[in-house]
Order: sequence, then structure tokens, then C-alpha cells
Amino acid sequence: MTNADAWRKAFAVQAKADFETWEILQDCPDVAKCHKLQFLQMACEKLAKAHLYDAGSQPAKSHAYFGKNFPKIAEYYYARAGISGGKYRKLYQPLRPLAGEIECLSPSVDNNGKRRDNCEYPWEESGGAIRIPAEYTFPNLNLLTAPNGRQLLKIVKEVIDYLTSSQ
Amino acid sequence: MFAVSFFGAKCMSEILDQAKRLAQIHYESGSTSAVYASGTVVTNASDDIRLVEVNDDTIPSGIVPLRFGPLPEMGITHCSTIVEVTASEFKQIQDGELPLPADWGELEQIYPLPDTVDPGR
Repeated sequence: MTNADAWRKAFAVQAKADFETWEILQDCPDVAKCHKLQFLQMACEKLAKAHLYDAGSQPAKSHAYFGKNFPKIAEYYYARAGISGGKYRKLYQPLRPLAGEIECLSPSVDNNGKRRDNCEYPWEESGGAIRIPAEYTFPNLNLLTAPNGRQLLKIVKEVIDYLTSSQ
Repeated sequence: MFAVSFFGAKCMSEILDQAKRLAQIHYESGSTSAVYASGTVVTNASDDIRLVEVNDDTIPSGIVPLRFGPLPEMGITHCSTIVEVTASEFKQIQDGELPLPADWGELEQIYPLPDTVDPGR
């Protein structure tokens, strides 16, 4: 196993553990939504890094990976199912905003100050109100009812499984 | 004993109502063409919602159950597990070639009801 393969596998295994924790927490009504979403954000970030290692790149230390790399991850996944070109773009485009929302959950990703909502630290809104992650509803990330929420989660879960199991 | 049975019946009815509500939300958002509830929802006192949703925009990758917590603001107070499949995969499920998780029962279409399917959809 090359060094890149070892890192790819390491990030994929950790992404899998994070995603499984996200799933387990779905059954815990007393756990705040911010904490559930934090595990999803971490899983997606590590999935993106695992994918980059798989593609021969070396990711830098940053939390801003999933939104930017999701197109390549999705393209790869759809291609394995024989879907490419225009059909891929039609299926993938509606998923992209959700991938960006997940990336914004990290406090270090704020789109130049436009997105201060995050999973970890209280933030001040433009009107001066202070918001607390543990009390925030994250209305843009109701993945159960968002039209493409299930599809995005399915891709994340499947690609993590693939990158974990492949040699 | 009566109290337990009564609670069970109430719980089943509540879960089925919420399963139908969730199915309606997904159908009306255009993300599924038909929703089937697992028999555990319809006939047993299971405490969660289990749905199979047909969606030809999903990747044909077999049975990938996705777990979701409650969403009280939308009237969904129970956890749910959702399996999205293509129409072709759904036929495989019906033919017994693609098995659902072991504790899932028979499927029953809950949205749209079979006699209200829009043939143009």
C-alpha cells in the first residue's frame, strides 16, 4: 500500500466512523441538532479528503473541502452507475447547494463573513442578536424533507463505504 | 393489559399517519413517484417509520437504508428509515431478488394511493 493509499483509507475509515455516529445520534432526541450535524460535516470533510488522496492529490489542512469537491465525488459515483454527461449534471446540480450548506457548518467556513451560523460557536447576526448553535434549528439542513437530502446522504454513505473497502 | 393494547393501537395509528404525511411531503416535492410503507409500520407496534421510496433519479445501488431523527416542526415525531430505489430496483424487491432488511415486513403503497396515480407523472 502506498502512502497515499494509506492516507486515503485512514480518512475514509474516520469518515465512516463519523457518519455512523451521525446515524446513531438520529435516535437520540435529547442531542442538539448542531451536534448531530457536526458529525455529518466531519464525515463529509473527511470523505472529500479521502477522495482527493484516491485521485492522487494531497489535501491541505482546511475545513473547506466538501462543497468544492462534491462535484468530483458525485461525478465519480454516478459514473460507476453508468451515468455521465447531461444526465449527471441534471441529477447533480440540485445537490450542490446542500453540499455547500454542510461545508458551512464548520465555524472556519463563513463565506467571507456572510455565513456565521455553525455547529460549534455562538455567533452574532447582522442585527446584533447572538445565536447559540445548541438552540438553532439549521432550517437549511432538514435533510429528511429537503427534496435532495436523501440523495446526498446516499451518495455520502455509498462513497465512504467504497473508499473504506477498496484496496 | 387493556392499556397496553390501547397504547399499541394508538401508536400504530400515529406512526402510519406520520408515514403518510412524510410520504406526501416527499411526493409533492417531486423526489419520489411512489412511497411504500414496510409492514412493520402498518401491522406491528414498531416505533419508527419505515419507507421504501421509488425515485428514478436515485443511483441504482441496492438497499441503502438512511436513518433520520424526528422533525417535530413538520409533524414527524418518530424516527424514520428510508430506502430510495429506482423503479427497476423496486421490481426486484417485489420479485424477491433484492431483499430489504430482515425485520422489514410486506410493503403497502401509501402515497399516492394506487387508484389515484397520475398516469402522466
